[in-house]
Amino acid sequence: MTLWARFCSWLGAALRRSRMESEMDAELRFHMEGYVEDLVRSGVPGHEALRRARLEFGGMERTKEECRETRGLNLVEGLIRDLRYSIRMLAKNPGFTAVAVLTLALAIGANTAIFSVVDAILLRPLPYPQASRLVFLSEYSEQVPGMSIAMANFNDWRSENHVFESMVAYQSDNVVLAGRGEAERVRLRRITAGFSPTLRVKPILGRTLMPEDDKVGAERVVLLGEGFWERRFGRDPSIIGQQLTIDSEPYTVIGVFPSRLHGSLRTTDLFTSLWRLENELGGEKNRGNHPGIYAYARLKPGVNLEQARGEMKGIAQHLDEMHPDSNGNQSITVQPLLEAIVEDVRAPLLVLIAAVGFVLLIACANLANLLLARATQRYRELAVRMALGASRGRLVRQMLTESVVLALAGGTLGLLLAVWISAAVVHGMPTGVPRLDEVSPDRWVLIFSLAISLATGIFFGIFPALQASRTNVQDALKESGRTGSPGSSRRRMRDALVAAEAAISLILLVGAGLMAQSLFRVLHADSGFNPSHVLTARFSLPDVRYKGDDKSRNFVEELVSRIQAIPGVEAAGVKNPLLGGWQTSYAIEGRPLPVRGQHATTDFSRVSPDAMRAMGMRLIRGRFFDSHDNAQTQRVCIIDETLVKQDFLHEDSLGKRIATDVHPGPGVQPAWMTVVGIVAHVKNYGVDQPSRVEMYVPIAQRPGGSGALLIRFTGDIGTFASSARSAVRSVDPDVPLFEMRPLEDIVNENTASRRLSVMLTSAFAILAVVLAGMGFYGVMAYLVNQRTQEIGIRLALGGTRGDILRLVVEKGLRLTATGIAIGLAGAAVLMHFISNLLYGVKATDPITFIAVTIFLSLVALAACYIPARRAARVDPMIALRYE
Amino acid sequence: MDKQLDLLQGTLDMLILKAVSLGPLHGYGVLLRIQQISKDRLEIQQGSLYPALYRLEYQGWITSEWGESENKRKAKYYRLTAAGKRRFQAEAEKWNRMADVIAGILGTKPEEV
Repeated sequence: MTLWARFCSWLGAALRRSRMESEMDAELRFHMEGYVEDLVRSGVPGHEALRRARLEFGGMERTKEECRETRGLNLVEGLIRDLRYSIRMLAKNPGFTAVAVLTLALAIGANTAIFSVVDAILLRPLPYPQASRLVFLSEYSEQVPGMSIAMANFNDWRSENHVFESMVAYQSDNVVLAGRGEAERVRLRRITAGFSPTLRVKPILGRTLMPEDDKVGAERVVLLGEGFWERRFGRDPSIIGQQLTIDSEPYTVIGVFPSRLHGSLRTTDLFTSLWRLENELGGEKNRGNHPGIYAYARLKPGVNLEQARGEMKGIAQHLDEMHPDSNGNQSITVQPLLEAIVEDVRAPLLVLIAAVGFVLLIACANLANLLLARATQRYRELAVRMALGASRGRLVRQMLTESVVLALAGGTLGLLLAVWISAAVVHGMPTGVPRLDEVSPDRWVLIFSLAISLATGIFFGIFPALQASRTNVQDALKESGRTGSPGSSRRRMRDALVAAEAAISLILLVGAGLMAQSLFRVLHADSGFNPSHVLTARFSLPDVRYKGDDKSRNFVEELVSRIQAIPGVEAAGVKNPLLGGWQTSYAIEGRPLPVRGQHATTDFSRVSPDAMRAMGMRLIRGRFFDSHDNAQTQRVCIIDETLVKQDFLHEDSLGKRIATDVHPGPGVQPAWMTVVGIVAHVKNYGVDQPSRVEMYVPIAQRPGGSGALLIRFTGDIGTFASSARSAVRSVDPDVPLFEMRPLEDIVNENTASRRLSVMLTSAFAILAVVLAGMGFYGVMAYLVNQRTQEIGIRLALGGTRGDILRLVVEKGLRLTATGIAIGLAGAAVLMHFISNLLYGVKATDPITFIAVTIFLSLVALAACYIPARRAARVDPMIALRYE
Repeated sequence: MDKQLDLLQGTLDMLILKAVSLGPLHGYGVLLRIQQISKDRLEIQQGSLYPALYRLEYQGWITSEWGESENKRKAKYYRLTAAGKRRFQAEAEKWNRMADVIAGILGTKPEEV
């Protein structure tokens, strides 16, 4: 039905309705007059006949109302009438309305904001057709869950499985684009021809990668990302067929991929074929090499996740038997793609949802309490309406309309607040949270806020409405001038609501307290290095021009010596990788080789002599590397204290020899490295993240194509950064420095998500306490108001003001004590669920529980004290005259 | 109290259907006819008559039209429809069966059990 047609039918009903109304009047008048005439005819005097007719007929208005209700069209009419009445009632009580709408706006706004974040990150599907059929594949071993995939394994998976309609392997890299203006570092994604069929993404210009492009020796071709095409080439379509120089090699541009991709794919600049690295990465001899390759696959129609997992498990077992040396006890992880992307943020987001949900519950309890108090004031109004023929259902409907109108007003204001809050949340979120840039109020957010407003209105309105409708007409009307007295069930409900508010806010406070403590401990934990006053930057050497170890070794030496010449530098060096390490298996000389497939692994990084000093690592024993540890001298390494603890518990590790090539081949000796130093353990991935044992080797003995500069300096970072940049350019203008930033910023990123969730949960907890405090205050103030007369009598009979004070405060504290007890029990159970998010503090930390209990009791005391003092100041004369 | 009302309501509907089945009547006439047939043994709350009439009309068992009363005044007359006739027969049969069963139960003597 169109809107117009609907309007017409409504108008028709309304017109019919007014005719029905007058007909009904005429009919009832006819009845009345007929009856009166009959009575008069039978000898009853006129005025007495009229009285008797009215009496015997019963309530005229009630009859009319019942007649109206037999017609269906009454619903819309009734609703409009209810709405009009509600708005009038709310406008008459601006104070009440303002408090209620603001409370709701805060609660609904916070909920909507968090929902809009959750919607964008966890719920919205990825931007591909039938995205739910996409899975993420990685290898799994006990030492390294989520390990990257060996190219040869991927090839076998692809040829042996029957569950995927297509698969794509990919690897991310940074490369240097030279030849067109200044050399620029760009983000490259190496992909296979399965990219387009798997994700169902077509290029917006040119063609996509074909299986022929994946063949070894095929012509070098590249696709551009839409963002890069726009930024660098101004969307020039003639770019197709032109040449780009990537890492000193010429590539032909064949197409442009759209920016409608997920996550880091969207910000990828260039796409080339992964198989160009086949010689280095693929092949049987490289099955033990896991070079950062992962894969997406699309499930065949009719195949579910469990079937795919079963099939891949079988294939993994088969490969283990065929290649025990490299594969050992490896397995394959198959995860829905969306789940794999949002894995890390799911738990903190769910905690936030629970926290805002609690805030909303408290707001509901507050509103229910306000409405209960108001219903008591409106006792007589309700009784009068009932006497005039309103049925119980009508009264409940009317009062529910009022609360829903309130909730919708609060929701509208809340939606505006939500836009602002979610922008602030997104702004405060750490970089690296997946899909954060997709947060925007879409129709689901609108639907959510509408639904939550309606549900809230009904939820907090239903109990007070049912209560109020139980009004006893006779009693209410019989009572003298004072507003009616609350029934005991109404009082019980109010008490229960106050206790519930105390319980919920206690749970929130405990949660926020535990998370804040975790943050404090994370910020003050020893990370094993000192990030302040350290500047970092990354570089990557073009493979072609820096072929051979000597060239890259010379580059590093030259670079470091030029940096060290800059005034203000305390120590400078190169480390690869910057934080963390390459995972590698290792063996110790003189001990049996580990069982195949179960090698111990360590994080392994290459450092130039001063890099460890620049990073602020602590030497425990032995020495750091120096310029004598080079290609010509004995191979050496430094290990960390956790490796010592793990492998050298009963003997001195200094002077022992370790190798990282565990199975170099028959008849070949592993390249042993002598341990020359022991350093403090470095928490590479953030102090609250798991870390592995660590090993460091001189970069001169193991050169590599890329690395990060670490410069410890004194003075201003701005002038310093530009001199560092020019120092690098003087070594080789084709090697750009990128991601130049203080080490402290990188470290802070690790704690950013924790800081944000602490900030938000604390904000929600404070909001909850404020609302609960308002709730306590409201109930106690109401109580004192109700009992003014009783207090006056007590005072008149000789009660002291201290007695009164004690009476009121005791009553208030008894209520909150019940709530706190329930809250403590609830917190003990619920905190168990967030124990994974805590660091250095137990979920049942007694200090937090005690502190929060004291804090909440103080809030309750303050909320009770103000009304209690007012009660104690009651003048008995006035109180008694009040009646 | 509530349960009695329910029972009465059902009965009232049936009585109204019977009353208008004997010829078109206005609301007040329905009241008079029932009192007359029942020889005033039934007390009917006058106000409850109209919601019942409206309901029966809404359900399509009776229809109404405006006409002129005995004393030349405009009045709304109710008439049984075909559906109302069937409905009344079904209701009456159900009522009689029920009455028989209840009477049988109430009339049971100890030796019959």
